[in-house]
Amino acid sequence: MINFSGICRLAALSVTAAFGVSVATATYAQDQAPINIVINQSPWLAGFAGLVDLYKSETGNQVTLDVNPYAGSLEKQRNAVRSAKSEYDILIVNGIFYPEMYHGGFLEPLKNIDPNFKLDPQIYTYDDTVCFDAVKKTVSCETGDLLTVPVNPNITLMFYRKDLYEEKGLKVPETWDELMANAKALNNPPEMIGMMQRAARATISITWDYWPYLISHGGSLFRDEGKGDFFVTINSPEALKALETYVSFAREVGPENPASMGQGDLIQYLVTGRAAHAVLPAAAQSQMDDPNKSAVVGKIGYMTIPHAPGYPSAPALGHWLGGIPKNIDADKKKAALAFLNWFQKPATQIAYAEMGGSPVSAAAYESDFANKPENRYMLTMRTASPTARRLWTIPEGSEIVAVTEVGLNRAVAGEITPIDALNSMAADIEKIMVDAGYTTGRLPDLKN
Amino acid sequence: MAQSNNRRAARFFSLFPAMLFLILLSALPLFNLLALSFAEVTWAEGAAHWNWVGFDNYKALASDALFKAGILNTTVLVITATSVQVFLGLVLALACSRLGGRSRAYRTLFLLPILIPGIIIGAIWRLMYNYQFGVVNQILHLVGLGPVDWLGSSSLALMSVIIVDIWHWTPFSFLLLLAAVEALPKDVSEAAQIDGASKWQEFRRVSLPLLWPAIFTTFVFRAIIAFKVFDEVYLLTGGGPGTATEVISFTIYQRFFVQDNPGYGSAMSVTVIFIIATVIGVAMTRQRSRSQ
Repeated sequence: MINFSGICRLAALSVTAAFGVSVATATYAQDQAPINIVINQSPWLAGFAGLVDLYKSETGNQVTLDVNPYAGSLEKQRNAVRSAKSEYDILIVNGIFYPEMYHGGFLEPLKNIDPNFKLDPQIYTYDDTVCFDAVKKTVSCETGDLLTVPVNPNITLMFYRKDLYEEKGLKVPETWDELMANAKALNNPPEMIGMMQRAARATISITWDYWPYLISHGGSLFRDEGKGDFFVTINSPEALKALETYVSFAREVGPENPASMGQGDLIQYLVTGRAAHAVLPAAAQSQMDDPNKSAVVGKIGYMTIPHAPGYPSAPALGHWLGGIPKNIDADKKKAALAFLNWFQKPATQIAYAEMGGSPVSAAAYESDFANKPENRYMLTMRTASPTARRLWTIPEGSEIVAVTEVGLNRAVAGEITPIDALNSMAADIEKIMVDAGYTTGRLPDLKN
Repeated sequence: MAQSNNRRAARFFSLFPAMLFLILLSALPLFNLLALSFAEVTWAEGAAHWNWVGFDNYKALASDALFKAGILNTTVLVITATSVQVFLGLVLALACSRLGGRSRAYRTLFLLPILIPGIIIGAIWRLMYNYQFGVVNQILHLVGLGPVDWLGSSSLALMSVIIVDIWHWTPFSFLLLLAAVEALPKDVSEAAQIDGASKWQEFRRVSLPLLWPAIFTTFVFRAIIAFKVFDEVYLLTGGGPGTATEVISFTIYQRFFVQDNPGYGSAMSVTVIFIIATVIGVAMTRQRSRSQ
């Protein structure tokens, strides 16, 4: 359990003073029941915790944060919704694992708690992942129920050395080929690595990193998941081109052993001034300009993820969503919704940005705060957020990601070829889908 | 006759509480694991729903590349690490025994690694192995070598994990073997020396045969623990790169918890229990027949 004080509290109080009585929602949540939020330990936690402290000081309501490592948070959430009564009133669900909460029917549609509740129009819906159509079994804000409020927009951005670009007269790339050319121009190992990728195996690491390559080459996991067509297409020629591009970056302009590089390594290489490019979640920007942690203060620029010619950029969604479990008391549900409602307001979102958090509202990204040089990542987020793409919307995601993490990582490590990796992944994913009762199939194996 | 029956009944009832504990704490969870291995579990409305799938979970193991890699790597780790640990443990035990009371400081020092929690050992060695600033590469740099990516290279990663395991668990072997060495009868060794045996001959022909049961037991105990290796791999490599350091406990964790597939994870667990029990059974039988 964490009860944040110190710097966060000071920041929270200063923002409170700036807000004054102008936050119209300040009275909305008064006299609510205490709530308990389960959340993971992430770079954006301090900002969120500061906001929680602000809420507490404004309303007098009690909010407790139960902070856990990534996998531990997921376990606690699963246990909470599967028990007779959840100990948590708000679950901060990851953008990869939310489908199992949706399909399992574990979250209360927010309008069931308050029929008048609606998302603020400036809140991003992140590829409609906040809504679920229980009949069609897919995410859709047109036909589905609103189940969650986004809490963090952890989409991927390309971090790059702006100073080196200026020094060498390089143009910000739009396509993967242009990026490769720039990475080669800057590659000078071991002092400077042209391109860092998150290719290590983890709960979800390389899959998330590969996703923008896959989608921006015209590839996909399934033929048309949105329409319920789960025919496996991960072994398509487009997916192969994407994986070959991914592997070529790793081999030609990557570090010595790219298959072991995790998010922490990428950040380490960047802040020590040893990487020219890295794809990272937007939240990692908070470490780039911190003089206590970074040797490249003010030197990092942010761009949208490149794409293959003829396809749009497709940053991967790894965002976080706040949902309310069904198995809690009505007064807890009401209190939880009051918090989420306060959280989504434009003024709160701007305060969230000012505290170092990552807002989920266009209000923050279009505010004056976003135009300050130190917040330059927000301008890129403004462009990238609407193009971000979800990974999958089915509860079998946790099984699929276990397959893709190993297959993709083995390809980068050179244990197997990209063709063998994609063929074996397609076969394994088809089996998962068959076992789960989907009508499925897969493309014929790619040939060498 | 009646007295004998009463005594038998008294014995049975005096053992009953212990038996009850054994059933509750060991047999029941094992039975639950076994039952779960024949099922697929889904969750709804706060309850688990078991669907019986027969031997499907066991059949799936045959085509699970991760399971095969886990078994192979674990076997390599168990055999290599345990052999080195027992050898080093024996050497250190003999050295300390020779030094007698003067070896107290060494004994404490040798035991330190086993007192450190696995999670801290993982953190320590991850820093030491770090490609950019790890102390291992810094030392290599001093002699003009490296840097080496100890955890990132497919060919080195498992060896790096084995080195950590050896460092962590050699004290276990040392502790057991030191007790055995210090319990050796002195008169037999002295008799051998009087008969003109060299120190090596005395060790090879007298001490080693007497120590053999302790060495074997240490090896078996250590192998059982080594088969369960998890925290070192979880913290150092996460099973990668590729499947280079995939070990069976990590595979079970992935399947059971991360993928939320308790039925399949249980089938994997039962299979591993069976394999370990078989290996131990065979080894114990051979040892028994050898000592007879």
